[in-house]
Amino acid sequence: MDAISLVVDVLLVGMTVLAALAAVASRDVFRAVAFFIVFGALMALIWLRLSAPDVALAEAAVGAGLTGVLMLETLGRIRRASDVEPVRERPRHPAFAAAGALALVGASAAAAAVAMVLERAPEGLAPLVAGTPGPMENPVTAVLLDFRGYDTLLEIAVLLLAVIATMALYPRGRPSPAATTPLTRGPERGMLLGWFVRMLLPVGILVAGYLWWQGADAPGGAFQGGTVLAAVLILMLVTAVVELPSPRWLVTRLALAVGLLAFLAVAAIGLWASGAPLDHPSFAAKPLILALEAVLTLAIAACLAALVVGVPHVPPRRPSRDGA
Amino acid sequence: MNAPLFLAGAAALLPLAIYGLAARRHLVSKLIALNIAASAVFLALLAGAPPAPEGAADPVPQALALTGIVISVSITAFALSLLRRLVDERGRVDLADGDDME
Repeated sequence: MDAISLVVDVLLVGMTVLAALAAVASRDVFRAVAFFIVFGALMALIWLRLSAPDVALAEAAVGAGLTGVLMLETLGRIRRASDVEPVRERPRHPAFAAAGALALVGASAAAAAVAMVLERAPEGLAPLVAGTPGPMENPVTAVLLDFRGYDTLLEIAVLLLAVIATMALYPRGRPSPAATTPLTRGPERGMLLGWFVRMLLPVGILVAGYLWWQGADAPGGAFQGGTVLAAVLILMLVTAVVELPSPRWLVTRLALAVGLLAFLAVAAIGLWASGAPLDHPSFAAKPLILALEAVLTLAIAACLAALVVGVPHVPPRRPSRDGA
Repeated sequence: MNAPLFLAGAAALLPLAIYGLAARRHLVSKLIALNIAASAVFLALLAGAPPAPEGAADPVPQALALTGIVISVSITAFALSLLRRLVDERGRVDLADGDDME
Protein backbone atom coordinates (compact mmCIF):
# COMPACT_ATOMS: atom_id res chain seq x y z
CA MET A 1 0.00 0.00 0.00
CA ASP A 2 2.82 2.38 0.82
CA ALA A 3 4.61 1.49 -2.40
CA ILE A 4 1.46 2.20 -4.41
CA SER A 5 0.88 5.55 -2.74
CA LEU A 6 4.52 6.46 -3.36
CA VAL A 7 4.17 5.65 -7.07
CA VAL A 8 0.95 7.68 -7.29
CA ASP A 9 2.57 10.65 -5.55
CA VAL A 10 5.68 10.55 -7.74
CA LEU A 11 3.52 10.43 -10.87
CA LEU A 12 1.32 13.25 -9.58
CA VAL A 13 4.21 15.57 -8.69
CA GLY A 14 6.00 14.74 -11.95
CA MET A 15 2.94 15.48 -14.07
CA THR A 16 2.29 18.72 -12.18
CA VAL A 17 5.84 19.98 -12.76
CA LEU A 18 5.62 18.98 -16.45
CA ALA A 19 2.29 20.81 -16.84
CA ALA A 20 3.81 23.91 -15.22
CA LEU A 21 6.84 23.63 -17.53
CA ALA A 22 4.58 23.41 -20.57
CA ALA A 23 2.50 26.37 -19.35
CA VAL A 24 5.57 28.56 -18.81
CA ALA A 25 7.54 27.46 -21.89
CA SER A 26 4.76 27.33 -24.49
CA ARG A 27 5.08 30.08 -27.14
CA ASP A 28 1.39 29.91 -28.02
CA VAL A 29 -0.35 31.70 -25.15
CA PHE A 30 -3.64 29.90 -25.74
CA ARG A 31 -1.84 26.57 -25.26
CA ALA A 32 -0.10 27.96 -22.20
CA VAL A 33 -3.46 28.76 -20.60
CA ALA A 34 -4.74 25.27 -21.43
CA PHE A 35 -1.70 23.74 -19.72
CA PHE A 36 -2.19 26.09 -16.77
CA ILE A 37 -5.74 24.79 -16.32
CA VAL A 38 -4.36 21.22 -16.35
CA PHE A 39 -1.80 22.35 -13.77
CA GLY A 40 -4.59 23.69 -11.54
CA ALA A 41 -6.54 20.42 -11.75
CA LEU A 42 -3.40 18.44 -10.82
CA MET A 43 -2.73 20.83 -7.91
CA ALA A 44 -6.25 20.07 -6.63
CA LEU A 45 -5.33 16.36 -6.64
CA ILE A 46 -2.12 17.16 -4.73
CA TRP A 47 -4.14 18.99 -2.06
CA LEU A 48 -6.30 15.88 -1.72
CA ARG A 49 -3.17 13.72 -1.32
CA LEU A 50 -2.01 16.13 1.39
CA SER A 51 -5.38 15.65 3.18
CA ALA A 52 -6.39 19.27 2.61
CA PRO A 53 -9.86 18.91 1.03
CA ASP A 54 -10.84 22.53 1.69
CA VAL A 55 -7.88 23.80 -0.32
CA ALA A 56 -8.60 21.19 -3.02
CA LEU A 57 -12.17 22.47 -3.42
CA ALA A 58 -10.99 26.09 -3.71
CA GLU A 59 -8.15 25.21 -6.09
CA ALA A 60 -10.44 23.22 -8.39
CA ALA A 61 -13.06 25.98 -8.45
CA VAL A 62 -10.94 29.14 -8.35
CA GLY A 63 -7.37 28.23 -9.21
CA ALA A 64 -8.09 25.99 -12.17
CA GLY A 65 -11.60 27.07 -13.13
CA LEU A 66 -12.06 30.81 -12.71
CA THR A 67 -8.46 31.93 -13.32
CA GLY A 68 -8.39 29.92 -16.55
CA VAL A 69 -11.72 31.40 -17.66
CA LEU A 70 -10.46 34.92 -16.90
CA MET A 71 -7.35 34.37 -19.00
CA LEU A 72 -9.21 32.77 -21.92
CA GLU A 73 -11.71 35.60 -21.85
CA THR A 74 -8.95 38.23 -22.00
CA LEU A 75 -7.23 36.37 -24.85
CA GLY A 76 -10.54 36.33 -26.72
CA ARG A 77 -10.96 40.08 -26.32
CA ILE A 78 -7.37 40.69 -27.41
CA ARG A 79 -7.89 38.52 -30.48
CA ARG A 80 -10.95 40.62 -31.33
CA ALA A 81 -8.97 43.85 -31.12
CA SER A 82 -7.75 44.30 -34.68
CA ASP A 83 -4.05 45.14 -34.57
CA VAL A 84 -1.93 43.80 -31.74
CA GLU A 85 1.84 43.93 -32.06
CA PRO A 86 3.28 40.37 -32.06
CA VAL A 87 5.45 39.52 -29.04
CA ARG A 88 9.12 38.71 -29.55
CA GLU A 89 9.78 35.93 -27.06
CA ARG A 90 13.48 35.18 -27.73
CA PRO A 91 15.67 36.24 -24.80
CA ARG A 92 18.03 39.05 -25.75
CA HIS A 93 20.94 37.59 -23.77
CA PRO A 94 20.63 33.77 -23.82
CA ALA A 95 23.77 33.25 -21.72
CA PHE A 96 22.49 35.66 -19.07
CA ALA A 97 19.09 33.93 -19.04
CA ALA A 98 20.69 30.48 -18.68
CA ALA A 99 22.88 31.68 -15.80
CA GLY A 100 19.84 33.15 -14.10
CA ALA A 101 17.91 29.90 -14.50
CA LEU A 102 20.80 27.89 -13.05
CA ALA A 103 21.12 30.24 -10.07
CA LEU A 104 17.38 29.99 -9.40
CA VAL A 105 17.37 26.19 -9.51
CA GLY A 106 20.46 26.07 -7.26
CA ALA A 107 19.01 28.45 -4.69
CA SER A 108 15.69 26.59 -4.63
CA ALA A 109 17.38 23.18 -4.27
CA ALA A 110 19.49 24.52 -1.39
CA ALA A 111 16.41 25.93 0.35
CA ALA A 112 14.55 22.63 -0.10
CA ALA A 113 17.51 20.68 1.27
CA VAL A 114 17.63 22.92 4.34
CA ALA A 115 13.87 22.56 4.81
CA MET A 116 14.15 18.77 4.71
CA VAL A 117 17.15 18.59 7.07
CA LEU A 118 15.61 20.91 9.65
CA GLU A 119 13.90 19.08 12.44
CA ARG A 120 10.14 19.42 12.37
CA ALA A 121 8.03 20.24 15.34
CA PRO A 122 6.39 16.99 16.45
CA GLU A 123 2.91 18.38 15.94
CA GLY A 124 1.76 21.56 14.24
CA LEU A 125 -0.99 23.93 15.28
CA ALA A 126 -3.71 21.32 14.74
CA PRO A 127 -3.96 20.21 18.41
CA LEU A 128 -4.11 23.86 19.48
CA VAL A 129 -6.97 24.54 17.05
CA ALA A 130 -8.78 21.36 18.09
CA GLY A 131 -8.26 22.14 21.78
CA THR A 132 -9.61 25.69 21.65
CA PRO A 133 -13.35 25.73 22.26
CA GLY A 134 -15.27 27.29 19.40
CA PRO A 135 -18.57 26.94 17.60
CA MET A 136 -17.15 25.42 14.41
CA GLU A 137 -16.38 21.71 14.05
CA ASN A 138 -14.41 22.10 10.82
CA PRO A 139 -10.98 23.35 11.97
CA VAL A 140 -10.33 25.22 8.72
CA THR A 141 -13.58 27.19 9.04
CA ALA A 142 -12.74 27.81 12.68
CA VAL A 143 -9.37 29.32 11.71
CA LEU A 144 -10.84 31.35 8.83
CA LEU A 145 -13.80 32.89 10.62
CA ASP A 146 -13.21 32.51 14.34
CA PHE A 147 -9.47 32.66 15.13
CA ARG A 148 -8.09 34.55 12.13
CA GLY A 149 -11.11 36.66 11.24
CA TYR A 150 -8.93 39.64 10.32
CA ASP A 151 -7.32 37.69 7.46
CA THR A 152 -10.68 36.80 5.98
CA LEU A 153 -12.02 40.33 6.48
CA LEU A 154 -9.07 41.78 4.56
CA GLU A 155 -9.40 39.06 1.92
CA ILE A 156 -12.99 40.13 1.23
CA ALA A 157 -11.79 43.73 1.09
CA VAL A 158 -9.13 42.80 -1.50
CA LEU A 159 -11.73 40.99 -3.63
CA LEU A 160 -14.04 44.01 -3.55
CA LEU A 161 -11.08 46.31 -4.28
CA ALA A 162 -10.25 44.27 -7.39
CA VAL A 163 -13.82 44.72 -8.66
CA ILE A 164 -13.78 48.48 -7.93
CA ALA A 165 -10.36 48.92 -9.54
CA THR A 166 -11.50 47.02 -12.64
CA MET A 167 -14.53 49.28 -12.94
CA ALA A 168 -12.42 52.38 -12.32
CA LEU A 169 -10.18 51.45 -15.25
CA TYR A 170 -13.02 52.03 -17.71
CA PRO A 171 -11.98 55.00 -19.82
CA ARG A 172 -14.16 58.07 -19.97
CA GLY A 173 -14.93 59.51 -23.38
CA ARG A 174 -12.53 57.41 -25.49
CA PRO A 175 -13.50 54.16 -27.18
CA SER A 176 -11.74 51.20 -25.58
CA PRO A 177 -13.27 48.04 -27.01
CA ALA A 178 -11.08 45.42 -25.35
CA ALA A 179 -11.62 46.90 -21.91
CA THR A 180 -15.32 47.62 -22.01
CA THR A 181 -17.10 45.24 -24.37
CA PRO A 182 -18.89 42.74 -22.17
CA LEU A 183 -18.18 39.08 -22.75
CA THR A 184 -19.86 37.74 -25.88
CA ARG A 185 -23.58 37.40 -25.40
CA GLY A 186 -24.62 35.25 -28.29
CA PRO A 187 -27.86 36.33 -29.94
CA GLU A 188 -27.83 32.94 -31.65
CA ARG A 189 -28.12 30.96 -28.41
CA GLY A 190 -30.28 27.94 -29.07
CA MET A 191 -33.28 26.80 -27.09
CA LEU A 192 -31.29 23.95 -25.59
CA LEU A 193 -28.61 26.18 -24.04
CA GLY A 194 -31.18 28.51 -22.51
CA TRP A 195 -33.13 25.55 -21.12
CA PHE A 196 -29.96 23.96 -19.74
CA VAL A 197 -28.83 27.14 -17.99
CA ARG A 198 -32.28 27.62 -16.47
CA MET A 199 -32.21 24.02 -15.20
CA LEU A 200 -28.73 24.59 -13.81
CA LEU A 201 -29.74 27.51 -11.59
CA PRO A 202 -31.64 25.54 -8.89
CA VAL A 203 -28.94 22.84 -8.90
CA GLY A 204 -26.23 25.50 -8.49
CA ILE A 205 -28.11 27.16 -5.62
CA LEU A 206 -28.57 23.76 -3.97
CA VAL A 207 -24.86 22.86 -4.24
CA ALA A 208 -23.78 26.31 -3.02
CA GLY A 209 -26.17 26.09 -0.07
CA TYR A 210 -24.94 22.60 0.75
CA LEU A 211 -21.30 23.70 0.70
CA TRP A 212 -22.12 26.69 2.91
CA TRP A 213 -24.02 24.62 5.49
CA GLN A 214 -21.49 21.79 5.32
CA GLY A 215 -18.60 24.21 6.00
CA ALA A 216 -19.46 24.35 9.70
CA ASP A 217 -18.27 20.83 10.40
CA ALA A 218 -16.88 19.33 7.18
CA PRO A 219 -14.90 20.55 4.17
CA GLY A 220 -16.74 23.36 2.43
CA GLY A 221 -17.61 26.93 3.22
CA ALA A 222 -18.36 30.37 1.86
CA PHE A 223 -15.64 30.48 -0.77
CA GLN A 224 -16.38 27.10 -2.29
CA GLY A 225 -20.13 27.76 -2.29
CA GLY A 226 -19.62 31.27 -3.66
CA THR A 227 -17.55 29.96 -6.56
CA VAL A 228 -20.21 27.43 -7.55
CA LEU A 229 -22.83 30.17 -7.43
CA ALA A 230 -20.54 32.46 -9.44
CA ALA A 231 -20.17 29.81 -12.14
CA VAL A 232 -23.96 29.58 -12.53
CA LEU A 233 -24.29 33.39 -12.52
CA ILE A 234 -21.60 33.71 -15.19
CA LEU A 235 -23.35 31.14 -17.40
CA MET A 236 -26.67 32.98 -17.02
CA LEU A 237 -25.12 36.37 -17.85
CA VAL A 238 -23.09 35.07 -20.79
CA THR A 239 -26.03 33.28 -22.37
CA ALA A 240 -28.21 36.36 -21.73
CA VAL A 241 -30.78 34.40 -19.74
CA VAL A 242 -30.71 37.38 -17.38
CA GLU A 243 -29.94 41.00 -18.21
CA LEU A 244 -26.44 42.28 -17.47
CA PRO A 245 -26.96 44.49 -14.39
CA SER A 246 -25.94 48.13 -14.66
CA PRO A 247 -23.28 49.29 -12.19
CA ARG A 248 -25.47 52.30 -11.45
CA TRP A 249 -28.15 50.19 -9.83
CA LEU A 250 -28.11 50.18 -6.07
CA VAL A 251 -28.80 46.43 -6.14
CA THR A 252 -25.61 45.78 -8.11
CA ARG A 253 -23.49 47.85 -5.77
CA LEU A 254 -25.07 46.30 -2.70
CA ALA A 255 -24.54 42.75 -4.02
CA LEU A 256 -20.85 43.49 -4.52
CA ALA A 257 -20.26 45.28 -1.21
CA VAL A 258 -22.58 43.34 1.10
CA GLY A 259 -19.88 40.83 2.12
CA LEU A 260 -17.51 43.46 3.46
CA LEU A 261 -20.37 45.40 5.07
CA ALA A 262 -21.66 42.27 6.84
CA PHE A 263 -18.15 41.43 8.03
CA LEU A 264 -17.71 44.95 9.43
CA ALA A 265 -21.12 44.65 11.13
CA VAL A 266 -20.08 41.36 12.78
CA ALA A 267 -16.82 43.00 13.89
CA ALA A 268 -18.85 45.85 15.42
CA ILE A 269 -21.15 43.38 17.22
CA GLY A 270 -18.07 41.73 18.72
CA LEU A 271 -16.73 45.11 19.80
CA TRP A 272 -20.03 45.96 21.45
CA ALA A 273 -20.64 42.58 23.09
CA SER A 274 -17.20 41.54 24.28
CA GLY A 275 -14.95 44.54 23.85
CA ALA A 276 -12.84 43.27 20.94
CA PRO A 277 -13.69 43.50 17.23
CA LEU A 278 -14.46 40.13 15.59
CA ASP A 279 -14.64 38.45 19.01
CA HIS A 280 -17.93 36.66 18.60
CA PRO A 281 -20.09 36.71 21.75
CA SER A 282 -20.31 33.13 22.94
CA PHE A 283 -24.12 33.00 23.17
CA ALA A 284 -24.58 33.66 19.46
CA ALA A 285 -21.27 32.66 17.92
CA LYS A 286 -22.49 29.86 15.67
CA PRO A 287 -25.58 31.57 14.20
CA LEU A 288 -23.53 34.75 13.73
CA ILE A 289 -20.78 32.94 11.83
CA LEU A 290 -23.25 30.94 9.75
CA ALA A 291 -25.20 34.06 8.81
CA LEU A 292 -21.97 35.86 7.93
CA GLU A 293 -20.92 32.92 5.77
CA ALA A 294 -24.26 32.94 3.95
CA VAL A 295 -23.87 36.63 3.10
CA LEU A 296 -20.23 36.05 2.14
CA THR A 297 -21.30 33.26 -0.25
CA LEU A 298 -23.60 35.66 -2.12
CA ALA A 299 -21.11 38.54 -2.15
CA ILE A 300 -18.22 36.35 -3.32
CA ALA A 301 -20.39 34.98 -6.12
CA ALA A 302 -21.33 38.53 -7.19
CA CYS A 303 -17.72 39.79 -7.07
CA LEU A 304 -16.29 36.84 -9.01
CA ALA A 305 -19.04 37.07 -11.64
CA ALA A 306 -18.40 40.82 -11.99
CA LEU A 307 -14.67 40.16 -12.47
CA VAL A 308 -15.27 37.57 -15.20
CA VAL A 309 -18.23 38.99 -17.12
CA GLY A 310 -17.32 42.61 -16.60
CA VAL A 311 -19.76 45.38 -15.83
CA PRO A 312 -21.16 47.22 -18.84
CA HIS A 313 -19.68 50.63 -19.44
CA VAL A 314 -22.12 53.41 -18.68
CA PRO A 315 -21.29 56.74 -20.35
CA PRO A 316 -21.23 59.61 -17.87
CA ARG A 317 -24.20 61.97 -17.61
CA ARG A 318 -26.48 59.77 -19.66
CA PRO A 319 -27.88 57.02 -17.46
CA SER A 320 -29.47 54.28 -19.55
CA ARG A 321 -31.14 51.24 -18.13
CA ASP A 322 -31.71 49.28 -21.30
CA GLY A 323 -28.33 47.56 -21.13
CA ALA A 324 -27.82 47.85 -24.89
CA MET B 1 2.23 10.90 3.47
CA ASN B 2 5.28 11.64 1.35
CA ALA B 3 5.87 15.21 2.52
CA PRO B 4 9.51 15.43 1.28
CA LEU B 5 8.33 14.51 -2.21
CA PHE B 6 5.81 17.36 -2.27
CA LEU B 7 8.44 19.73 -0.86
CA ALA B 8 10.72 18.73 -3.74
CA GLY B 9 7.85 19.44 -6.13
CA ALA B 10 7.47 22.93 -4.66
CA ALA B 11 11.23 23.43 -4.97
CA ALA B 12 11.01 22.52 -8.67
CA LEU B 13 7.97 24.69 -9.38
CA LEU B 14 9.20 27.92 -7.77
CA PRO B 15 12.37 28.53 -9.85
CA LEU B 16 10.46 27.47 -12.98
CA ALA B 17 7.79 30.07 -12.27
CA ILE B 18 10.25 32.86 -11.35
CA TYR B 19 12.19 32.19 -14.54
CA GLY B 20 8.98 32.41 -16.56
CA LEU B 21 8.01 35.62 -14.78
CA ALA B 22 11.33 37.19 -15.74
CA ALA B 23 11.92 35.71 -19.19
CA ARG B 24 8.52 35.61 -20.90
CA ARG B 25 7.31 38.78 -22.62
CA HIS B 26 3.62 38.12 -23.14
CA LEU B 27 1.87 39.51 -20.06
CA VAL B 28 -0.60 36.61 -19.87
CA SER B 29 2.42 34.25 -19.75
CA LYS B 30 3.85 36.33 -16.92
CA LEU B 31 0.54 36.04 -15.05
CA ILE B 32 0.50 32.26 -15.53
CA ALA B 33 4.02 32.13 -14.08
CA LEU B 34 2.95 34.30 -11.14
CA ASN B 35 0.05 31.96 -10.38
CA ILE B 36 2.33 28.91 -10.55
CA ALA B 37 4.75 30.62 -8.15
CA ALA B 38 1.87 31.22 -5.73
CA SER B 39 0.84 27.55 -5.94
CA ALA B 40 4.44 26.51 -5.24
CA VAL B 41 4.49 28.65 -2.10
CA PHE B 42 1.19 27.17 -0.87
CA LEU B 43 2.53 23.68 -1.57
CA ALA B 44 5.68 24.39 0.47
CA LEU B 45 3.52 25.77 3.30
CA LEU B 46 1.32 22.69 3.48
CA ALA B 47 3.94 20.03 2.75
CA GLY B 48 6.32 21.66 5.22
CA ALA B 49 3.82 21.64 8.08
CA PRO B 50 4.15 18.77 10.51
CA PRO B 51 1.47 16.11 10.01
CA ALA B 52 -1.42 16.25 12.43
CA PRO B 53 -2.08 13.21 14.59
CA GLU B 54 -5.43 12.29 13.02
CA GLY B 55 -4.08 12.50 9.49
CA ALA B 56 -5.76 15.72 8.36
CA ALA B 57 -3.41 18.51 7.33
CA ASP B 58 -2.63 21.35 9.72
CA PRO B 59 -5.66 23.71 9.54
CA VAL B 60 -3.65 26.95 9.89
CA PRO B 61 -1.57 26.60 6.67
CA GLN B 62 -4.74 25.28 5.01
CA ALA B 63 -6.54 28.51 5.90
CA LEU B 64 -3.52 30.55 4.74
CA ALA B 65 -3.52 28.73 1.37
CA LEU B 66 -7.28 29.25 0.98
CA THR B 67 -6.91 32.98 1.60
CA GLY B 68 -3.95 33.07 -0.77
CA ILE B 69 -5.91 31.43 -3.59
CA VAL B 70 -8.62 34.08 -3.40
CA ILE B 71 -6.04 36.91 -3.28
CA SER B 72 -4.32 35.35 -6.32
CA VAL B 73 -7.50 35.34 -8.37
CA SER B 74 -8.25 38.95 -7.36
CA ILE B 75 -4.79 40.11 -8.41
CA THR B 76 -4.97 38.12 -11.66
CA ALA B 77 -8.35 39.64 -12.53
CA PHE B 78 -7.10 43.16 -11.86
CA ALA B 79 -3.89 42.59 -13.85
CA LEU B 80 -5.91 41.23 -16.77
CA SER B 81 -8.12 44.32 -16.80
CA LEU B 82 -4.95 46.46 -16.84
CA LEU B 83 -3.76 44.37 -19.79
CA ARG B 84 -7.02 44.98 -21.67
CA ARG B 85 -6.53 48.74 -21.26
CA LEU B 86 -2.93 48.33 -22.49
CA VAL B 87 -4.19 46.56 -25.62
CA ASP B 88 -6.59 49.42 -26.31
CA GLU B 89 -4.07 52.21 -25.62
CA ARG B 90 -0.90 50.77 -27.13
CA GLY B 91 -1.98 47.85 -29.28
CA ARG B 92 0.42 45.45 -27.64
CA VAL B 93 0.45 42.69 -25.04
CA ASP B 94 3.97 43.16 -23.62
CA LEU B 95 5.80 45.95 -21.86
CA ALA B 96 8.50 46.56 -24.50
CA ASP B 97 9.21 50.17 -25.54
CA GLY B 98 9.43 51.24 -29.16
CA ASP B 99 13.24 51.18 -29.22
CA ASP B 100 13.24 47.71 -27.71
CA MET B 101 12.10 46.23 -31.00
CA GLU B 102 15.28 47.57 -32.72
